[in-house]
Amino acid sequence: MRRILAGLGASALLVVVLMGLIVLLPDPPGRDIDGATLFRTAAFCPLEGETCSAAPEVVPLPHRVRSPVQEGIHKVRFSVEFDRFGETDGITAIYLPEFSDAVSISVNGWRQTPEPWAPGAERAFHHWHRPFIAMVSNALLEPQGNRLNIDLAAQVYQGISLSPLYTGDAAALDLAYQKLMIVRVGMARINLSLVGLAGGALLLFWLIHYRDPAYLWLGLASLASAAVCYHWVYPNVIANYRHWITFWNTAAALQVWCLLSFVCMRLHAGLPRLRLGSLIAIAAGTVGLILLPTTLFSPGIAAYQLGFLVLALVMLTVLVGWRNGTQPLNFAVLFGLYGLSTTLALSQWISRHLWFDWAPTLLASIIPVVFVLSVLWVIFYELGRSISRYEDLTASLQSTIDEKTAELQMSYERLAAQSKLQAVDEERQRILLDLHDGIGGQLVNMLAYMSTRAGTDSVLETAIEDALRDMGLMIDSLEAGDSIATQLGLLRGRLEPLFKAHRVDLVWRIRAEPGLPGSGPSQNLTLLRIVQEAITNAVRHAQARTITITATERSISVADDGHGFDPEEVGRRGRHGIGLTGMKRRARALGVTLDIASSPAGTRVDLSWSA
Amino acid sequence: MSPRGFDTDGKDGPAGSGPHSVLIVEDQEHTATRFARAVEVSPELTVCGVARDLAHAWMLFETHRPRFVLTDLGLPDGSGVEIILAAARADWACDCMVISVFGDRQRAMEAIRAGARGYLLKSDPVEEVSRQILEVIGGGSPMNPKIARYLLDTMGPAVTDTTPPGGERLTQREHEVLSLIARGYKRREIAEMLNISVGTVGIHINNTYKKLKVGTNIEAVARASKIGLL
Repeated sequence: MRRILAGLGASALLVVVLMGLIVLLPDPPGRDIDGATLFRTAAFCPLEGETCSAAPEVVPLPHRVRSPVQEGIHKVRFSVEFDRFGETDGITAIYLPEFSDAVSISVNGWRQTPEPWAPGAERAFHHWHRPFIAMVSNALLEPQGNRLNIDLAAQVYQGISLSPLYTGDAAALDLAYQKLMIVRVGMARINLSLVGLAGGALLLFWLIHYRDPAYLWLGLASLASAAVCYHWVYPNVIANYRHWITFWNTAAALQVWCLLSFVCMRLHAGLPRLRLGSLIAIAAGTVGLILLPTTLFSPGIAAYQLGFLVLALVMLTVLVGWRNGTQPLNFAVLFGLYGLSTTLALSQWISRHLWFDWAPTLLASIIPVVFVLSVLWVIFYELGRSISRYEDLTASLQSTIDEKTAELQMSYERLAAQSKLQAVDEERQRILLDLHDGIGGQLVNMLAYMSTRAGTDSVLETAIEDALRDMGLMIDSLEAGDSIATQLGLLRGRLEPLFKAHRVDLVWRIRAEPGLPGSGPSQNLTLLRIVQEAITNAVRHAQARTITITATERSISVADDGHGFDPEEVGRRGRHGIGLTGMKRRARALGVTLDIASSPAGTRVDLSWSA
Repeated sequence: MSPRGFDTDGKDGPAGSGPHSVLIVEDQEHTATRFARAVEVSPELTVCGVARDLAHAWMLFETHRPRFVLTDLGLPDGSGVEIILAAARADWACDCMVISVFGDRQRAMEAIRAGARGYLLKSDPVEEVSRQILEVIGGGSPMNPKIARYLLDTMGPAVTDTTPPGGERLTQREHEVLSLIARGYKRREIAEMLNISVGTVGIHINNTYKKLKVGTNIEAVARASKIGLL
């Protein structure tokens, strides 16, 4: 409801503003032409047959009169006195730039042009948008004071008007006549061909390509407009005056209705009931015009035209109400052009049916021009949008292709890396198995053999055990992957016999997964070797009863309650020194801080690192 | 040296009467001897035979119908996994464990999927060997950090409220227990830390074994997603 009110308000405002501009437009003043006399006044009288029915009065030109009769033809006479141009062998021209609706002139009582309203010829004249010129031989003229009667006639429905006129130099006036003819009739023809072509093109668009109903309706509106323009280009196509008027008013109404449909489709407003209802009203109105008695035809036409003017206002309302359905620029242009057309039509209606002497008749011929502009705008606007959409699509396609290519490239690289990794992995497994079944199995077998024999070398046995433990550590570092906590757990399992043999209690505090930055299997192996060395030292040399192993994210520590040692002295004497030196060297290589604190109450080995 | 002539036809009765019979399949002579001695430490266990290769093992397996098989994997004429599969299909109660030098992951897991209840290290203390065998016969499942880590890696994160209930996912508690085992904690320590009984820890471990067998295709999925195929 609000959008309808807003639309109605905006449309009415636009129409009123444009109407104001039209009212303020002055009638174009008669322009002086060299060698010609300009008449700004004339004697005027209504005609009854061939004679004035009232005393002539002098009126200023342009002068417009409404038909006083209800039926038949309405005739008036304008009279001026003019001078001959040149000598007796010359020609004097009589030139009427603008008048309505049919003309016949007589000079000094001699008729110079035929009377279009001769009995039996019931037809529309509508000469209102054409100039008129008549050439009179100077042989027929006095040097001065020649009487020119301009008889104008109109059907009931038409009005009568005459603008300032010229007499004089035939060459100059003929040139002016030709120019005006080209502008007036030429424009009507150009309009006709443009709307015809646009209509055909839009229907073709609709048929071949888009199936967008908006194109169908705009195309039909163009064809309806062509029917209206035809009326200005080829007079009297339908001999019967009433039928012809009915035909082109229906075409005008259908043009408005098609435009309404176009707006509804383009802005996705829908409104099927409004459209169907108005179409039915137009059809009913047309039937009514055909059936009306002749006396009621003129008010019938007025009502019919008022009807489609209201429909035009409805169309403007929809345009404003659903303006979010399109770009602001498109809305502004369409609203401006349709608003202008509506205003021009309304001003015509007012000057024809309300205040006769109100607006220049010629303004109506601008309506098709405005309409053609709107159609061209729609075509070019849609074309531009299609092009930009197409470019956007191409751009997005291109970027998608680039993306996919990069993805493909990446997955190729990943696959290559994977197969390489897999090859490395398989090779590693093979070496592991060799170590495992080969050397490992042999060493274990040797130990088992030695354990069955009395008095075997304990140094040799310890060495073999150490070698086996180190191998276990190597295999773990490869198999337990990146988890130092798991490797510590495995180390515990392997050292269990050692703890049992030395009756050592273990306090196990692996609180978190130690994360050595940038570590891989070999770094983890080095770290575990340090830890293993610290534990075996505590078991073998410190006579510890309890060993506490603690791990956090940033540290691993091994603490015992053994008798401790003096690191300096040990370093000098060298017995465990090899182990300590090795631990220090390994810690340095890893970039890990190694702290060894020893006292008679125990030893504590701390490995720590920063994130 | 050997306390009994275990390399001959055993004289044990059918499984269930008297001490449990154990078949040892190991090609390294001294290692085999050591394990045989370790088994005999327990009065509840007796060695019914020691095979050095697969062919010999088949014969002893069929003849003695052992309650327990202790097998190496790399044998001169084949893989010990075949014995494990046979034990799983046997029409009498027969459990298996693998003898391994270091418990190399790939083959140990293969054996576990075939039905072995974990592995013994060749360096394990003598009393540990018999203890673990008895534990398995009693219905328990030995577990060590390597297997726990493997289970955690292949079975993924624990079931949460949002994941659909399924047989092959670990529960929160099972995940906790496995994580602690992977870090080297013993069952007793885990029971204390989680405030549950040692028996309950054992039940959780048994359940994870069952889930592993249910979801033998999980590993395929895990492997596939690791190399980026999924």
